[in-house]
Amino acid sequence: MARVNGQIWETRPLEFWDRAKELRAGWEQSAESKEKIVGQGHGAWAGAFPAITIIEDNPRGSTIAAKDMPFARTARLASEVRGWGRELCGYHGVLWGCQFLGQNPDGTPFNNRKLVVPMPATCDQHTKRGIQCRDFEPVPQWQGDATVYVGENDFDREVEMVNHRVYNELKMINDIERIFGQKFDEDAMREIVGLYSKVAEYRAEIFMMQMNTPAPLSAKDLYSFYTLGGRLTIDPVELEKFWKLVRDEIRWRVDNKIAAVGTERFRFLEAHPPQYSFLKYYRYLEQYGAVCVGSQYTNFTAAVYERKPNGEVAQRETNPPRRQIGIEEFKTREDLFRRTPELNIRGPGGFKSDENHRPYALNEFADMYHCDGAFFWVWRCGVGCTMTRKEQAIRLRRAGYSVLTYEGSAPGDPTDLDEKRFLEQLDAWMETNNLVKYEN
Amino acid sequence: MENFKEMIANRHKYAEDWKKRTGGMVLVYNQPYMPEEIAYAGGMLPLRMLPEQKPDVISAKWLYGCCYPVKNMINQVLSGDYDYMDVYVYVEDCQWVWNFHELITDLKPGLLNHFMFFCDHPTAPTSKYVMRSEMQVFKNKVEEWTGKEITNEALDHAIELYNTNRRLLRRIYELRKVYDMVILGSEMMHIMIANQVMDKAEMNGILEKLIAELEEREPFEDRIRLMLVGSELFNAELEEIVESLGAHVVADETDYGSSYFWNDLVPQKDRLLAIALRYLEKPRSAMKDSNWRHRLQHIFEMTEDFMVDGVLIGKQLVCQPHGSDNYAIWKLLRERAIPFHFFERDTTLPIDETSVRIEAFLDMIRPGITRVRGWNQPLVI
Amino acid sequence: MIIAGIDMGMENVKVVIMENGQIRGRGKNLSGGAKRASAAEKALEEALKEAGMGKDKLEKIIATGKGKFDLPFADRCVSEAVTTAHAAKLLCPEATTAVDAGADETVVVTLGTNKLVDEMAINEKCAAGPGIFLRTIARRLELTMEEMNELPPVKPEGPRVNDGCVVFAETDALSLLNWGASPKDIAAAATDAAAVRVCTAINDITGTKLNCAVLFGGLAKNAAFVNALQHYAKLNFVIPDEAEYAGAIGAACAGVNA
Repeated sequence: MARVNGQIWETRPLEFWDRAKELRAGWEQSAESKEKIVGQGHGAWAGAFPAITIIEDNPRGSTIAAKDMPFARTARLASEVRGWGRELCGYHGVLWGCQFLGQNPDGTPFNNRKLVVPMPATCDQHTKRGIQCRDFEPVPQWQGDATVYVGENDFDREVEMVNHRVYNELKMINDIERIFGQKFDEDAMREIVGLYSKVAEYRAEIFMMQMNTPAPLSAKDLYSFYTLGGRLTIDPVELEKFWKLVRDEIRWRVDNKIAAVGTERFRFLEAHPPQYSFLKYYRYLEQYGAVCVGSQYTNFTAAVYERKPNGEVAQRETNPPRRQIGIEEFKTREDLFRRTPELNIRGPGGFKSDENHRPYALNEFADMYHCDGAFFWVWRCGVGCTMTRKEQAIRLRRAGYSVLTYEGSAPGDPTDLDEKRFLEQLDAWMETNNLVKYEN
Repeated sequence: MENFKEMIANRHKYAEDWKKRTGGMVLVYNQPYMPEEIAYAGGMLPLRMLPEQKPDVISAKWLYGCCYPVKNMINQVLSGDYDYMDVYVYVEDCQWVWNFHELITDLKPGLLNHFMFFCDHPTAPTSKYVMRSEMQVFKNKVEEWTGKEITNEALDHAIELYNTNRRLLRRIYELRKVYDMVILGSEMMHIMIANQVMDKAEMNGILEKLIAELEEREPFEDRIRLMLVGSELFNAELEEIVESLGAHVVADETDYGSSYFWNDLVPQKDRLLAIALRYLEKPRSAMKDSNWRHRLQHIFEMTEDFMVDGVLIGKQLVCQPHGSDNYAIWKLLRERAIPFHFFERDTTLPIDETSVRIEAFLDMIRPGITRVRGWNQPLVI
Repeated sequence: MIIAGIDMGMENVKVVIMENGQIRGRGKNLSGGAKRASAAEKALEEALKEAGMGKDKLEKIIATGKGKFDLPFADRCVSEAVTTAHAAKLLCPEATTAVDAGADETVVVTLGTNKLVDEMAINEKCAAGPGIFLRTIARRLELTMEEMNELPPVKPEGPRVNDGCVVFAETDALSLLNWGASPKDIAAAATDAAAVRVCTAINDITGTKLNCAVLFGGLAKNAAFVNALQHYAKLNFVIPDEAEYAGAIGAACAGVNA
C-alpha cells in the first residue's frame, strides 16, 4: 500500500465495513416500516413483539442532520416555533421537527410513532424523551425510572427500586399486549438475551484490544458502527454474527500491529459524542499523527474497565456480574425483568449513572488507553453530554494530559459550529504539543 | 406588613444567628422535593438556596453550558456566602443542580451532604414504597449527622408546623382569587421566598400577624390579571415590572412560588410513608412530569381559579426540563384561548427589554378584557 | 536572520521586522475587513521603512492572528497560543504565564521548561470579543477610547451589566442608558464585565504558574480594564511597552526554527 508522510505503522481498510453499512441501512429502513407498529424508545425486548419496531430518536435525528443540513434546520425551526427549547438536544429538535412538518427529508410522509417507551437515564433529556409524540397526539406512553444512587448501598431501598422497575416494565409489556393485540414471545426474549450477552462479551473484548498501540480502530471508525445493537436495534442473530466478525478482525489487527491511523504518535480520548456532521476533524488531526482511541460513549458502553490493585486492567464488576446470567434462569416473564433491572442498579453504565465514579472515570480511561491528551466537545444543549465535563478536563490537566475543549450546541445540530475557529483551535492544541502537520 | 424583602436580604445573617442561638445545624437545599419535615424533626434548620447574580469569575472554571441559577449558586458557595452551611442535600431533579451537588461535595470535602433519589415516575403503585425507603435512608442520615434519634413525636410536630405554614400561606395566596385583591403579586412573592429561608416556627407567627393586617387593608385597583409559569424565579423583579405597567400577577406555578406549599401532608401512622406521599403528590416540577402531564392540568386549574387573563412563561436559559414542556403548555393555552407570552431569561432581567415585551403583551390582550374599569382607555400608571 | 512577524488581528494588523531577536521596525494598520491582506501589506511597508530595508531582505514572513490564513504572502502560519508564548519568553523572560487579551480572543498559556507551552486556555464563545465589545459600548455611549481607559472602578452600589454574555451585557447597558444611568458608570460596568469574562479564561489554567504573568493585546492599553482584571485575577501583570505587538513578535520568534 502507498505510504503517506509520517507513516509509522501499517494500516489497512476494515474488512467488516461493508457489512456494517448494510446493517445500518437496514435499521434506517425499519424506521419507515409500514408493516410494523413503529414506536419511539429503546428496548431489546422489542424483538419479542414480532409486529412492533422500537426506534430511538437520537440516531435518527443525527443521521438526518448529517445527511441533509438544510432540511434539518427547517425541522429544528418547526420544533422551536412550537416551543421546543433551542437549547435542547438537536437530535430531538430535528426528528420531532419532521413529525411536526409531517415529512422526512426525502418528502415521504413521516411515520408517526404509535407508542412511546421510556428511556430511563440520568440525563434530563433522556428522562423526558418521547413526550413530543405523546403531546402531539394521544398515543400510549409509559414512564420508568433510572436508578441513580450515589453513596452507600442500602439493601432495603434497592429491593424497593427493583420492585418498582419490574412493575413498570411488566405494566408496559402487559399494556402493549392489550392495546395492540400483540403476544409477547417469551421464548424469543430468552434467545435475544442470550445473543445480547454474547455481543456484550465481544464488545468488551474489542474495547480492551483498543488499548494496544497502535490502536486497531479509531473513534471515526467506531462512530460508524458501534451503535449497532446498542442504540440501533437490529436482528439479534445478525447482530451476534457481526460483532463476532468485528472481534475476529480486530484480534488479527492487534496480532499484526495493523493501525487504524498509520501516523499514530499522539493518542487522545474524548468523552461524549462529537459533532456528527463534521467527523472529518478526525482526519484533520491525523495529519498531525493524532488518533482518537475512543470515548466513554463508545468504549465504556460494553463495560467499564478499571485498574485492579495488582495493576491489571479488567472489567469493573457489575451487580450481579453480567457474565453469570444464564438464559435458563428466566422461567417467567417476571424472572426476566426482575433480573434485568438488577443489572442496572450499579451496572456497567456507571460512568454515566454513578456520579461517584463518573468524575474520575476519564483519568482511568486516559491511563488505561495510554493517552497523551483529551479533546472534549462541550455541548450547550443536552445536559447529560456536558455535565461534569469541565471538572474532568481539570482533573486530566492536573494529571499532565493536554486537554482541549470546544463548544457547540449539540452533536446533532451544527448550527453554530464555526469550522474555521474549530480547526484553528485544533492547530493550537497540536502546536502547543510540539506537533507539526505532515505535508500530504 | 413585615419587611419580607429585608428578611431575604439578611438571610445569611439570620442563619448564622440561628446557629449561634440554637447550636443546631443548617441544612441547605435547592430542589423542590426536599422533605424538610425530617430535617426539622432532627433539630436542623432547612433553608433553600437562592441563586443571586454577582460578578462571577468562578463558575466558568467548573461548569459549562449550565443555567445561570446553578452558575450563581456555585459562585456563591465558593466565594463564601454559604460558609455557615453544615449540610447540603440534593433531591434528584434537574441535572444541572445535580452537577452543582457533585461539584461542591468534591470542592468542599468537609461538607456533609446527601443525594436523595426521587422518582421520575411518581404515580406507579410502587413509587411510594421507593420513596418511603428514601425517606428512611434520609432519616438515618439526619440521625447520624446530629447524633440524635428522630422520634415520632418530633416528626408529628414538624408535620403539623409545616402543614400550618402551608395553610397560612395558602390563605394569603388565595386573597388574589378575588378581583378586589388586598395583596400584590410582588408582595406575595417576597413572602413566599422569605418563608423558604426562615424557621417555620417563627414564620408562622409572622404570617398570622400579616393575615390580621391584611383583613384591614383597602383593596387594590382591579387590573389585568396575569399568571407566571416557567422555570425558577428567585425574586419579585418580574412581578414588580408587571405592576409598574399597570397589571397584576395573581398566580404562579413555579417551584419557588406556589408549588412549594400547594398541598398538605396528610398524616398517617407510617409518618415516612405520609411524607413520601406528600412530595409525590405535590405539583410537579417540569422534570418529573412526563407520562401523565399533571402540570398542564394544574396550570389550567389555576388559570380558572384565579380568573387569569393571560399567562407569562419565563424560562431560564438552558433549562432543559422547561424547554421540553413548552410545546405541551403552549398547546394547552392555545386550545383554551388563554393568551400567553413566552420569553427566555436568566437570573437577571434586562428591565427595558422585559418591560417592552410585557407592555406589548398587555396591549394585545387589553381589548378582550371588558371587566376592568377603563379597559378601553390608554394605560395611565 | 531577518523575519517579518504579522499579527492579523480583528481590529488591527501589526507587523514587526526582527533581526536576530531584535526589533528593527514596526507597522500597524486597521484590519480592513475583507481587504485584510492589503492592510497587512501597508503595515509591512511601514515596518520595513522603519527598519530601513526592502522586502527582498526578508527571509521569512510568519503570520498569526485570526486572519492569518488570509495572508497570501506568508511562508507559514502559527497559532496564537504559540506566538504568545514566544513573545513572553522574549519580552519578559521571567514570566511564567502569558495572557493575550485582544479584540476578539483571549489566549492564556503557561510557559514550560522542557516544552514551550505547558497549558493553554482559550476564551469561551460567550467571552469572545472583549475588545470589540468595549469599542462598541464606547460608541453607544459616545465616549472616546481615551475616556474608556480612564474610567474609575465600578461602584459597589452602581449599575452592573451581565458578565456571562456580551450580547446580554449590551442589552443591559442600553437598558441602563434608557433608565438614566450615567454613561461613565455604564462604561465602568461594561469594562468590569469584560474583565470578568477574560478572567474566566485565566481561571481555566490548573497549574500554579500564575506568579509572574505578562499581559499582551490591545486591551493591555486600557488602564480601567487592566485594573479590573488585576482585581478579579488577583494578579499584578507585567505589561511590556510592545504589548500590542506581542503577537507579531511571537510570530517572528516562531519563524526562527521553522
